Amino acid sequence: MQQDNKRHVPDWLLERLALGELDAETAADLRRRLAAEGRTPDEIAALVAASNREILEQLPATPTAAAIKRRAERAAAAARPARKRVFLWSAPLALAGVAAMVLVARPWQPQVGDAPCDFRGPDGECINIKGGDIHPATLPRIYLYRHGATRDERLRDGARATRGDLVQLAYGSHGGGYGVLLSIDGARKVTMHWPEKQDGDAPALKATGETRLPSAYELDDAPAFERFFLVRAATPFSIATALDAARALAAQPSARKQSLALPPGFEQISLALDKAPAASKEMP
Amino acid sequence: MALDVESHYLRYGPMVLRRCRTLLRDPAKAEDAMQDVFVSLIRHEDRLRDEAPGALLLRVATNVCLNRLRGEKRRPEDAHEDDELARRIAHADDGGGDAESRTLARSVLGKLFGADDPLAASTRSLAFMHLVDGMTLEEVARESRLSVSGVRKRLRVLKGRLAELEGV
Repeated sequence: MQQDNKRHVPDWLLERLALGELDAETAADLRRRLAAEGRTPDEIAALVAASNREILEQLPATPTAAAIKRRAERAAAAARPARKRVFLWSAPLALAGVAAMVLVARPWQPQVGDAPCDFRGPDGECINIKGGDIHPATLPRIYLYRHGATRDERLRDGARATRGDLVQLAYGSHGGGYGVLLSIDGARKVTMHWPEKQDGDAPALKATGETRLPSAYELDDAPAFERFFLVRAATPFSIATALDAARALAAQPSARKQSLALPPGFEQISLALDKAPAASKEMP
Repeated sequence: MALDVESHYLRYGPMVLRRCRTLLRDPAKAEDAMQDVFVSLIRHEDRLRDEAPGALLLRVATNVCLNRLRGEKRRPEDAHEDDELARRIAHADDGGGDAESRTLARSVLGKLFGADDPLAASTRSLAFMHLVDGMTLEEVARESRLSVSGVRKRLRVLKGRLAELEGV
């Protein structure tokens, strides 16, 4: 404990002490360490209070809070018309009242078998895995769910979707490895879904049957299709490799059907949604 | 329920601003980052149900500021200092170190967090808390709601980068 008392008391913990948010044991420990430094909690509290006053004089609460709210509104507005990530806890509210109408407007119509795939998975997904034995039970998988007001709907390749649909992306990779999840659309755009960064190396995949991404994804008004890819390799690879291949494919007229042009050693699994016009509110 | 921004700013705003000033060393950038911290809180206010706002806001502030530092250009003239600083930061990795070590650790972390740095944002924050703030692994774990072993595991990644910097 004596050695512990000699340790610098981090400002982080002093802030928390001044707020009164620390548990009793931690607070008592900090008081002991402060005493060893010849300081007291009262002195710290006085310093923090003086700093608080000075800052609040420079940046008063009412206008600063108003500026923060405006910034938050701008950020929300900027995200609204375009594709955006929607955290799961907000999804049920966002969809309540509209999902059912959208779903009945265009019944699901599977369209599989028209892509140059090595073979198709259980959901009709296109699987291109070259150079190795195929074990169906351990194949990498990509899963798509559409959030509904009461339940999620698992989507197959070729399922109809429309602007505003909230889709949840998941992957399965019993063999672990490294991977990224991205999509291309009929507007020739590429969207990274996981990880969010676009540089560095692809992160490790969880060696499980199904792992959902932390956020859902709202389809925008891009026409024709949204095609999701899981790009996987057994060893780490640059995210740029997958992104560059996706950008190249997205620019092609055959982007809905063709495979990503990836170097040997990569696996790719894709599942496409066919876009339909948004249902109008007058529809039954 | 909408977050009461003004009351949260009154109670936590100065603390967040101090944190941002400490990391960014620029009053204007710190003020801008502070606002972003509260915007993030508005977006994710549900997290307030699970933990004390102080720890959450300090973590968010650290992430926001480190992300901004990450985007700043590294000065070429600093490059030759890497090896020595990396050694110093490695020695600081045993419980906080002295003030000089923490200052040097900050400098090295700034270099490690370059634009092409592959460390996850959360790992960068944990590294900063441990190596620059001087918090023990136990304190970092408690403030981050992680296990001590989880923190230790993530920081091994940082040690690997430091070893690379030293040319091992």
